[in-house]
Amino acid sequence: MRVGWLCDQAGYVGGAELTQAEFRASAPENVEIVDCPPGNVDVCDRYVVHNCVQYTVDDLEPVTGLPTVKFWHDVGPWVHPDVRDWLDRHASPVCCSPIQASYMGLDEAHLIPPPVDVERFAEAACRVDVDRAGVVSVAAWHNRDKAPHRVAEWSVANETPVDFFGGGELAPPGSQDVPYEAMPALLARYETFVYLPTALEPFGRLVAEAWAAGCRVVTNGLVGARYWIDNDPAALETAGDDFWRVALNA
Amino acid sequence: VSRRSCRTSRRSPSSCGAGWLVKGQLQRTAIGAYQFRPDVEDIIDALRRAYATQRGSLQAKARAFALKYDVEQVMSEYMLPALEQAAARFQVQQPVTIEPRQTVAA
Repeated sequence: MRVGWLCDQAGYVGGAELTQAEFRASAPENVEIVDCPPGNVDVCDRYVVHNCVQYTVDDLEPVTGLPTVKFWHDVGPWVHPDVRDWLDRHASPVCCSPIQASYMGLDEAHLIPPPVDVERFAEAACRVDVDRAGVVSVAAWHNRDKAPHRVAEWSVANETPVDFFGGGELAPPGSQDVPYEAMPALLARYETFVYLPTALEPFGRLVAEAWAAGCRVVTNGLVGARYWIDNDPAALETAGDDFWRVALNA
Repeated sequence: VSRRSCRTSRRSPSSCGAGWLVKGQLQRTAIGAYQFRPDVEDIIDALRRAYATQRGSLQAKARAFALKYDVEQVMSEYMLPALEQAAARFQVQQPVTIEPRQTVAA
């Protein structure tokens, strides 16, 4: 079965790109994923749409009428209104968390978290040969809503220093970028992970990964990953299969 | 910017219980909201029309409309619910702690 794969050409690897890669990797054997970049959507049996701000309604025309799933990695602030309208009418929505679905008015959406390799992070925790200690905050500090200042306020209020990691134009001074491959080992060194965004974070991959790595996590009600940690942590590991079950039955 | 090319607007009739609507322009403010900047010449024109009108019939209508904005009503119907919303938005940002999961050596 040919499954058209629509996603923006981001030019960097963020949470959405990691999630897409995990979904691709967990595709069933009978699925052939066909890349359908903006302006070049091929004919397929069914489609999966990821971030799509680079697509026009004309790009989506070949998809109309065919089974389509839209995985909402974010709340779609930059999606063209006509494309959003098309998605609402023609694609079955999948959200990362209940708070995202509620915020977007997609109450009928399937709820599937981004896949998290919990075992990989747990193994990193087991390999740590020193006592875990300290507090860490990691994010791609690209927008104000990631709110490193809230972590700094938490640090002052709790009289506890915080080590910041992650790049981005709004990264706190001294914050170092970390390759994703090094993330399990980094998180496993720390006792506590803090992340306090000021806008809705549909999932918040690093929150789930820090928890998987055995950190105490300090976060807030704007982070969708909390729902899965509190209510259904097993879904983090079955998300790939769960996604394809929905995608192939849309 | 010439006046002709500016976006012009009139206040919504819903905000006018009695009187005359004037032209003006929506002006974006520093907090991301819009204010209405009324056209001064149009205000003068409206005042002239008001002066030349028998205003008695408009008085009761104007008062009835203004009562919708009675301080008690605004407080109970708008202000307190708005403050509750603001409090909820503040509350959802407060830190909560998720205790660490138990990791077991493979």
